[in-house]
Amino acid sequence: MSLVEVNSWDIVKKQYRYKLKSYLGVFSSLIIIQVLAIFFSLNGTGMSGGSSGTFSYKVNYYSGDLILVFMMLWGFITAIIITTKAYRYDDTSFVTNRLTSHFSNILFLISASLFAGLTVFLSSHLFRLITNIMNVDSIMVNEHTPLQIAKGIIGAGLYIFLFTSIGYLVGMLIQKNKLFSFFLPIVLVGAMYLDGMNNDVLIFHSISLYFLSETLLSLLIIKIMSVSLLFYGFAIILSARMEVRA
Amino acid sequence: MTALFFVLPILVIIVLVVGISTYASKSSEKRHSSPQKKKWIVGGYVTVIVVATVLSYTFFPAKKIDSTIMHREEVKKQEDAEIAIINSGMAGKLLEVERVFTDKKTWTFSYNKRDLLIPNNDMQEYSPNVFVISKPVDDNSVEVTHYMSKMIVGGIDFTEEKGSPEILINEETLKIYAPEPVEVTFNKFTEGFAFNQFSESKDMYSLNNLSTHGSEFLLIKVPKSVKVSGAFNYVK
Repeated sequence: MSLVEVNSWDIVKKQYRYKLKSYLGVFSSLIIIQVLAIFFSLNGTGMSGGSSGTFSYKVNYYSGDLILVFMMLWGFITAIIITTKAYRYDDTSFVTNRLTSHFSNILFLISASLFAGLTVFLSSHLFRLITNIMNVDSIMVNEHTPLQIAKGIIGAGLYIFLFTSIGYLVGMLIQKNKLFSFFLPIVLVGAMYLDGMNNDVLIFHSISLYFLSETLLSLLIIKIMSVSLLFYGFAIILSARMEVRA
Repeated sequence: MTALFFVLPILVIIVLVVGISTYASKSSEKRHSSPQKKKWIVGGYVTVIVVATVLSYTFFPAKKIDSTIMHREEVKKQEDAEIAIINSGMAGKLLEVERVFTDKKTWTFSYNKRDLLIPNNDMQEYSPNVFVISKPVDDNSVEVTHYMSKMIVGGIDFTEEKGSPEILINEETLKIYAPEPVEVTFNKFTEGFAFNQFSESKDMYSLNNLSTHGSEFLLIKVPKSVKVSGAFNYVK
């Protein structure tokens, strides 16, 4: 019996600090994946063209879209990984319960997502610099104000965070029953296939549009946070019935 | 098979990302490299991308697309005004052109014949509208002016790049030759969809919102006594 009264929030903070310091592998994988995304983007991410009489034009697009998509996947996988036993048992070195462990995980994933969002912006400029050096001259840019850049960084972080919440729920489902690791990819690929059967990806398009059509950052925050918290909530409820470490 | 063709690259990317993330995290558990070394790697990478961002803004400044050149409504307004002017010319009374069109090139030929033929250019890839004005005097000169409206692709003004035709008067025939073909290649860069979402240019791949291919016509002023025949419209 201890005479020291333990505050849950203090434990969450301690665990969060511990995770920031010890989960460095998460950040080294971020670097490798970002470099890979830059490499994949070097050939351009799109092309279009047209003509009017004797005038014709060709436009090559270079964007950081692929870097962001890779980071979203990275967030998804990272969240799955930190739900594994090895990571969960790390928390037992603190006086803890499942809820504090979940909260510190969520805080860690928020921080990692925002960091990833910032690096998406910075690495897209590394990518632009490389394309410049590779003699792709006369690059035109859509001028973004500092405020739009700040909003973009937060937006990128939010999209990554959304994927961490999905990953966290998927991770918990897999921890609950390993069969999910086989069923979930089948269900996902099957749903994508069925959705795209009529050459019109209706459901996935509508889901994407729900977030991508939002021009107000405050509303995007509300949308993404509410959906993410729903996924995290399910994950926390699921974990309540899981076995405890002996 | 076609579905597999589209799904395969996505699967390869997913396998790569999953593999790298899992390997990096597992190796972290096994303490393959010291935390200090990993901090240096992360710190080094952040330094590299920060320096790259500074360099891309300072030493390699890109041409900025002025997305305020024309908004969708302005493009529509411009196109409607062009159609109205061309239609007015076809109807025989050319409206005021200066507001919408600019005179890109003017040719002046001394001409003392009584007839002028403008052959039909319909079979060529270049066949601008031709309007003819009969001057109030016999000044023995034929003036040809090439009018062009703005040509904007993806917010970039290419009006200057688009050339004028070549005009020649041979005996009693005015010949219109197509301008030299111009091919323009340009590159567009953006940080990604999350950044475009909060700016005016939401979809970088869509040029249509900020594009208008423009119209053009030739206005030929002939001396009062010259009788013109061929493919044209008389205007006042």
